[in-house]
Amino acid sequence: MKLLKKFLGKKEDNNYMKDYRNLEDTKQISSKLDDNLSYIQQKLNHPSDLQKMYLKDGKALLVYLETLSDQDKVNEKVILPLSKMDNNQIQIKNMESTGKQHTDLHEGIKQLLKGHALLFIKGTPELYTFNATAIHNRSVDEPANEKVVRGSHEGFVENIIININLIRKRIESTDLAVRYYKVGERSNTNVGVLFMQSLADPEVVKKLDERLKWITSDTIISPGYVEEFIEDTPSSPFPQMLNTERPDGVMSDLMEGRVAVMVEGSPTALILPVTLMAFYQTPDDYNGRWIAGSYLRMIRLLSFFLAVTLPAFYTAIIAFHFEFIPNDLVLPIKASIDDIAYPPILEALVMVITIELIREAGVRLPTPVGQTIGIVGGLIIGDAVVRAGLISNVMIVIIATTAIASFVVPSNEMSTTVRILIYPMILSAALLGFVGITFASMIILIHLCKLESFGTPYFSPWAPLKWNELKDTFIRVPVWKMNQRPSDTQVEELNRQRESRGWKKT
Amino acid sequence: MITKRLGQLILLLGCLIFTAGCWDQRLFKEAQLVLSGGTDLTDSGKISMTVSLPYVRKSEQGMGEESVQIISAHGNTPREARMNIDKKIPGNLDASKMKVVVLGKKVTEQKIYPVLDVFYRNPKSNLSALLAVAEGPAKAILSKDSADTPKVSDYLRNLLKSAETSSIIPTQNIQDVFSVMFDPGKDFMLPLLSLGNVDIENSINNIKGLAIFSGEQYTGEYLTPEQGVLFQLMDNNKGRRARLTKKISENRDPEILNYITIDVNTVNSRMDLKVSDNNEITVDLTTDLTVKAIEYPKDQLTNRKEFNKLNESLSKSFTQEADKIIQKLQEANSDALGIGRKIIAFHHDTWEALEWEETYPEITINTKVNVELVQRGIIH
Repeated sequence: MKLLKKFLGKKEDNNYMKDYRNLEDTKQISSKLDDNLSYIQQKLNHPSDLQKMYLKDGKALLVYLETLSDQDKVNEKVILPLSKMDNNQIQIKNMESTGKQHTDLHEGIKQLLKGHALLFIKGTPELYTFNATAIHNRSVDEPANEKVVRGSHEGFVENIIININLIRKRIESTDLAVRYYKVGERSNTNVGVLFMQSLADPEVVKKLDERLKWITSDTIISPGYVEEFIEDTPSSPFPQMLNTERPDGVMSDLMEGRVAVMVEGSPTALILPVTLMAFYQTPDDYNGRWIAGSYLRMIRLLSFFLAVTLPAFYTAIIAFHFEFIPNDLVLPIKASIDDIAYPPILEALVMVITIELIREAGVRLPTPVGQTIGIVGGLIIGDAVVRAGLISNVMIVIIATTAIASFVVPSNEMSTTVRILIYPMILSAALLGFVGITFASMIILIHLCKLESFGTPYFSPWAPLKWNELKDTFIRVPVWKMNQRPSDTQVEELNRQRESRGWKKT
Repeated sequence: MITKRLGQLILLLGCLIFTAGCWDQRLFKEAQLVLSGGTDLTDSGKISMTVSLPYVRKSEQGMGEESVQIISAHGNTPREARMNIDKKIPGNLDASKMKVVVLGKKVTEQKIYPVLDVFYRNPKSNLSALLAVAEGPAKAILSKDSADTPKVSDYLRNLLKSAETSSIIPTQNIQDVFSVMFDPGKDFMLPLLSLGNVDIENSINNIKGLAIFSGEQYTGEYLTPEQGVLFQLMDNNKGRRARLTKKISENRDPEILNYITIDVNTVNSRMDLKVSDNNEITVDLTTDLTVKAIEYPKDQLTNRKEFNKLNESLSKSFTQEADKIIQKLQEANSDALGIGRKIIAFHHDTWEALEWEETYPEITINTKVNVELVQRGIIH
């Protein structure tokens, strides 16, 4: 690990961005309108979308970015009220929507970049900003990648304000803390951090604060960037933060004492710290009744084991331990693999990679083409490859089952992890049979036990084993049985409810 | 520098996988499975081994045609004979899915452990294979294919399994036999397979009964299937079903009215062992059966008197049958009930003083079978 760190070593150079941090100091506003205008134009590199308007016989100057500001709002808030006034007496204070007064031109430019309109008055060293930001948002539709059958169909959008609004509507509490960070030295991206003050572990909040402040990158495009900057173990195949686009998911995580990180321009919230189990829980488990929830939970966990071990298991059996095959299956399996030219490991790898190709080809293509690829890939190749004698049909069954099982995982990140873990498993099964599978599983388990997400054990509640928290793992016990939050987050207040079914059945 | 090291490390790991990899794999597709095997003794005292090899062709829809090849070879030991078979076939002979092992009569007349040693020594051999004795040479049994099931291994296995279900033979595989084989206080019995008909064309493999072994050797005596069922009951070893047909009267007409067929519901068999001061051993074997009538054309079971008479006559005739079995076992010197085992456990001094093999045929074994009819069938 140290070797790798040295190899990737960080270069210390903080000067390369000095020129662009030039709005930090203050700049006096000139009483001449044209001076201010030319300064702004120079600072913004003479943008073509900068709208300037002299009003009141040249006594006032209105500046705004037409691409950021809403023309109607500018009209309504600035131009119309001004036109009603006497040319000689411009009283900003009398206007319906009073502009904010600033004396620092740099502050004005910052506001301009947010879509505010700037108003300069001739002869005064101050400016007024009017909020005229244009809002172009898609609706808070259900995220396509995290659909639920029942429950809330709201999803986050690309606007952090709306996203936080969705959370605040759900948690009407003074306890909800919202902190903004400016991350990205050139892009100045808004990053929001949300947590419940009385629940979240202050240690985690402190760590997050420190790590966010360490980010010196000039651009933050997505939460994926933030995730890579702040996660504990970058070399682990397991995601250590949960990505979600669902407000109800974020709400329940906040209520468990976790912290949500949102990034302007992306509908994804990062949840931290998380455990492995979090990737196998969906809101559907809690929207339905507990028996159905438990059943689905078990199916999903089964799919995890199937997806990771099934091809390895089959490879080990036909390459090492074929006495495991049940008597009645011996001859059918023998018939199907007898004429296959390649050893089982190649068979398995070729099929796994083919499935990945079909998936990857289908992801980015438009739906009609994607479906065609699916049919051509899945049906035609699958059938032809068996007829051609390249792959045995039992292997097709195994790999197809594995592929389906790997997509059962609710989280896309975890699904990818599972599909990556197949390779070392198949390889070790082909090298050493069941012994190899045992070794590979042991290494994965050791890694899981060692892994931490912001100082909390990733494999909790299995390691460290907490018996009474297993009630939300393999099964999901009724909600009224879960009187305590999971303790992996070092939550400040463990109890979340008292007896909720104290009433008598009559 | 570090990049170079890393490169070397990756190269090393790659080499490890690609050079050392897969050295101990045994590919299923390269194995030539043996599903049943038989061992015979040739006239010159050599071991002759016969195996059945299944072949399947793949077709468009899964499994295609099946065919079975029967191959024999000689050798001084079973392993050598097996190696000689391996020379005659493509692929590596693999016995790990062996279903049935048949021993020819000649082999079993000697001690059988040396012939079976090869199964117990190899960790890959299938210890849950079934063991049977052929009335003649094992090769004849294995070579006899029936038209419906070309796989003789499946045929024999199903034959033996169904006999286990109907309590004709005990449920035992090669592993179970091994533990009894060297037990001085217990003997085993193996199913006896026969081609039945002398006319080879119409013959079909069937179970002739239970071959009685004394120690490791076949005595030549056997229990008939009906006696086999009763013996399993006396041994408290009922399979899923135990069904017996008994003649209970002589003079009715038509002949069919003289018979009753019963299903045994429950069985409780007790062995009372008495050892006198001068080491004389008496065994009281009491078997209580509750049965239901499943075929009794004469009926009249509603008549209390008739009913009691039936219980009595059934008990009597079963007791007689049980006596015959015990007599047969004692003559063959086969302690299949495990009386010696009890003496070792409860009367160890007696055991030490006795030579069991000589004593066993002389001891007194009293049998009593009590039959109680509890179900008459649904209509009556």
